Formats: sequence, C-alpha cells, structure tokens
Amino acid sequence: MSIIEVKDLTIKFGGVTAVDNVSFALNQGEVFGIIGPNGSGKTTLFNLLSGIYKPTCGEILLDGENIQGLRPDLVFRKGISRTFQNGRLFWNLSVLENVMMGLKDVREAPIFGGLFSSRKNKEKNAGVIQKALDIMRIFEDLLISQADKFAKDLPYADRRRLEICRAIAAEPRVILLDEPSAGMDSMETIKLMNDLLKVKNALPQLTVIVVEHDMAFIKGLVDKVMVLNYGKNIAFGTFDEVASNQQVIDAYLGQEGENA
Amino acid sequence: MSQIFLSEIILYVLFLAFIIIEEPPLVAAYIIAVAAAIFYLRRKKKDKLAELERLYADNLPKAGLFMAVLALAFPFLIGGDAYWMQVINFAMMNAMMALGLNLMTGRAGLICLGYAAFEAIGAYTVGILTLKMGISFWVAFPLGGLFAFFVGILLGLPALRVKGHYLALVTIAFGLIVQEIALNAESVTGGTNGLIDIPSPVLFSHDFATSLDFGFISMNYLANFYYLILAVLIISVMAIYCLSNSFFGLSLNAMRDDQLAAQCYGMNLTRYKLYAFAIGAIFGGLAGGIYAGMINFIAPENFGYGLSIIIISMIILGGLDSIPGAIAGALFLTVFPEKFRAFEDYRIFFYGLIIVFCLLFMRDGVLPFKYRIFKAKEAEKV
Repeated sequence: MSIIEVKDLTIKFGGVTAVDNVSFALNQGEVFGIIGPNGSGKTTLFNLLSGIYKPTCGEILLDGENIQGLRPDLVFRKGISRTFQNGRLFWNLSVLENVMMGLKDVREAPIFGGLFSSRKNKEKNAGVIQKALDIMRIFEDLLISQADKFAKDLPYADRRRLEICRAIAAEPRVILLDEPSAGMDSMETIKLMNDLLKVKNALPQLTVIVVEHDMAFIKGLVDKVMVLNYGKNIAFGTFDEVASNQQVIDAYLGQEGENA
Repeated sequence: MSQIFLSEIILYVLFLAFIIIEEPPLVAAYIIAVAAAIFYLRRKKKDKLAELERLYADNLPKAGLFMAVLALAFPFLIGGDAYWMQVINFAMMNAMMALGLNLMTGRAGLICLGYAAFEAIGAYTVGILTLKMGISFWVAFPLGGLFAFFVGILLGLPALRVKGHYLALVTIAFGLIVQEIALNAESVTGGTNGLIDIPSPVLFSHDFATSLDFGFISMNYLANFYYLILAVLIISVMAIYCLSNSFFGLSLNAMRDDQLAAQCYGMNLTRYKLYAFAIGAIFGGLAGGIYAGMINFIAPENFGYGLSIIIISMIILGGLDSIPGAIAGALFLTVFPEKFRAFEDYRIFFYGLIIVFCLLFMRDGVLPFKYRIFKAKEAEKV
C-alpha cells in the first residue's frame, strides 16, 4: 500500500484554482520531486499536505488514513514534517534547541513537569539533548560544533541543514522539503544534494517530497517527478520521461531554453 | 564564588544608597554615574562581565540564597523606616507582576496591556472573601491566584484569534472591562467606593496590622508584609525559573519566534497560549491578594490602565524574557519616581524620560537574557 496518496486535491482562492485536481501516490522510501514554474501551485500543494490550508475538495491519505483538513500540529503528529521555502527556524533559539523542538519528548512533556523532581528532570533533559545531538551527526561535525549558537547566527547553508535536522528529528514517515536549494549558488546546491543523499542513506524508509526549481538538483535526487502548471498535474513519471514531455518543455524547460 | 558574593554586595550597597539619597539633583547625578558605569563595563569589560554572568549561571542556587539572605537583612538596614518599607513592598509586588507578565510577553511573545486586571482580580477575591464572607486570608490568598489563572484562560480565548497590534487592543479592552465590572457591580465590589476595612492577615495569632517585634528592635507593621511578600516573591521566582527552563518554556520561546513554524512542529498553539496567559496571570493575582491584605482598602482606580503600562515598562527596562531583568526593572521603576516626589506631577515626566532613554539606547534592557536554556555540554556522556 502506498504511504501517501493524494486524490483529486483541489483548493480555490476566490476565482483562482491554485491546485487543480492533483492526484499521486507514493510508496514508502520513495523520493518524489514536484517541479513547475513560479506560481504553479507547488508551495500551495505543500501547505495543503501539511494542513496550513484546508482543501476545497479531494483527499489526502497517509498510510490509508484520511488526514485532509486536520490542523498543522495534528498532521505533524501523524507523521508529516516539513521545511519552509524561506527558512522558518526559531531564530532566537540555539541550534540544539531548534532540533529539540522536533523531538517527541519535548512536544509531549507535561506543562508543569519542570516544577518537580529536578534531578530526574536533569537526567531526562540530558537524554533529550543527546538525542538531538545524535540527529545532528548526520552532517558530521558541521552543526554539532555550532550547537550552542543562535540559529540566526548560522551561515545560510547550515540553516538549511538545521531545518532538515529539525524535520527528521520528529521521525516522520513523510518529509516535505520546500525549495531546499533556494538562494544557493551551484557549489552550495551540490553540497546540499550530497547532504540529502546522506539523509536518504541514513533513513532509507523515509519518504521525501521535494519542491524544486533547479532541474539538475531534482535529476540527481528523485525517483519520480510531477510537473505542475497553473495548479494542474501536466506530467508524471521518471525524470527522463517528464523531461522529454512536450507539454513540460513548453511550460517550463522551453522557457529556460529561450533564455539560454 | 567570592566574585558572586562581592558583586551581590556591591549591587546591594548601590541599591541602599539609592534609597538613602534624597536630594533630587543628587539622585539624578547618582543615576547618571551608575548608568555611565554600566555603559563603561558593557563596552570595555565585556569579557569580565560575561565571565561573571557564566559564574552566576553555574552557581545559581548559592547566588540566589545569598541574595535572599541580603534581602532578609534589608528592613534592619533602613531601620524599619515606614515610608521606605511601604515603597519596597510595592516594588516587590510589582516585581511579582513583572515576572508574570514576562512569562506572557517576554517568553511567549503574547503582548498584554491589561495586566493590572489580574492584580484587581486577586485583590477583589481576597477583599470579598475575607471582608464579606469571613474567610481566612490564607485561604483567600491562593484562591485569588487560582481565580486569576482561570480569568487568564478567559482572556486567552478571544486572544487566540488575534496577533500583534490586535492582541494589544484586545488586552487593553480586557483591562478596561475588568475595571468597569469592579466599578459597576456595586453590591459585590462596592463600586467607586471600593472595599473598605479589609481585614489584615493573622498568622499564629500574630496580627499583621501590629508591629513586628524582634526583641532588640520593634518594626512597623509593614515589616510583616515585607517578609510575606519576600517569601512569595522567592517562591514565584523559583516557579517561573523552573517553568521557563523546562521544555514548556522552550516551546513558549519557539512560539514567540514563529507561530506557524511552531504549529507545523506539533505545538497545539491554543493550549500553549492559554497556559501562557493563565500561568502569567497567577502572579498578578497573588500580588493583588497581598495588596488587599496590606492596604486594607481597594478601589477600581488602583488597577487602571496606567498600572498595566508601568508593569510592561518594567520588563522593557529590565530586558524582555529576563528574570533578573524583570526584578531589577520593577525595583528601579518603583523606587525612582519616589525620589522625585518633590516635583509632584512632574515625576511621571522623569519616569517617561527613563523609558525613552532605554528604548533608544538599551534596546535589550539592562539585564538581557543572553544564554539559551539547553546546552550541548549537558548531554549525557556516551
């Protein structure tokens, strides 16, 4: 059975249909790319999947369970975590604390738990901190060496890494990456691709959905691609199949060809 | 360790001197000198200061205990002077309120411009229960805090739907509503006349309205309240410290930074906002309860919009989200206007001057919260 299945998903903002009858199904462990020109509804689709928007109609099934219309925090608890296009870290928290915010232990700690039995709490905190550090180890020493820095003081590329760490800290079944390479130069993009492959190697069961602009980036990463244009799914398949589709070339790649 | 004791004694002596100096020009000169010294230390001795801060952070229980001992000695050092005892009592009650507001506004980022309402709730709860129903102060006092907790939830409910400026407006309206209720529900609250002759607390047959006799020195009745408020303040500080440094406190900080991201990371915003309002409100309620027991008279005008603004100024001056900042801000901004009482109406002007100065030159406040809650080195060694 597919881990995530989207059926006829549609959202209308007034007269505009931002996402129009989109359907797809993914198996566990697959990496799925969503591409499309600006304003084609990619981020809107993510906002639907993560519960920020409620769909006008259609269904989202996570492991067979209906999750459309749930609040973002409930969707997250079901096992979908995401990153944001412009990077939404908790800027005034430390790197370590940002990762901790993804952990179940922090989320489910009792509100007044801090008031009692301080020794036991200390041990528990130490365990949680250790867990967060273990997750950061995916990027070797890069983040761990900066664990006590404020998130706002991180260099750009490390912010993206941190966002990915925070997202996988939740042990999600599906992770949504919204334009992870936005604002990066080609060197940084290659590094990021390697980082994502590292994550994928460490967590082979994780299903990844990634929205991207950068075709080279998508090509090296994904198993399947979907192309959106004006909110519609205009092509679906492997990268090579999609890249040779005439409709796609017209909508997306063709424009790049003209500019080049 | 000795550095901590020394720095605490220096601060204590500075505060004592601040209280003892009376002539307005001298006070002004004194404040300018201390402010200049702080500026100098912050600019030129950054490393030393950071080292001292770390020392405090690592030895917090001892530093706190020593501070408490110094505070216990305070009434003796000013010779039980009634006027200044009264001012200091108010300063400490304001510190409790500043701490509560700091949890809402500093830590959780939920601005509240109607905080005085929570003090009113605590004060009226104690006033009505003790005066009209004959219930003991010691029962009514925690009930005042509890009632403020529930009213905090009540304020949180409409506040959930709004953010930023709109939240500020909702909280202003809330403060006015509570004041209007106190004015108009005459049969219960006494209306404009307020509640008169609220009984003082009695502990082990010692009436708090009588003088406190130590044998070698006999102090004004206000000393009773000094020690009561000090005890409640210390418990408040410990409670707020523990809550702020727990996962709950971390989550509130995350919510302050980015509500949408926090929600996308599994935080039930409704629950956290309600708790932030409600827990913050408790301390206002407790301060109000003591107010009623100490002054024996409460009226709606004691809990107006002006007080809410003064409390929020205290946490701005001290540094948002900073526990020592909230206390320092409250102590300073309560004592300071008293120094200029010779100028009567103008004292508010001096007070405004300080706020403007702070906002222009010390955005983070006097004692900013610089260190994060959890650090990598606290991890269990593997």
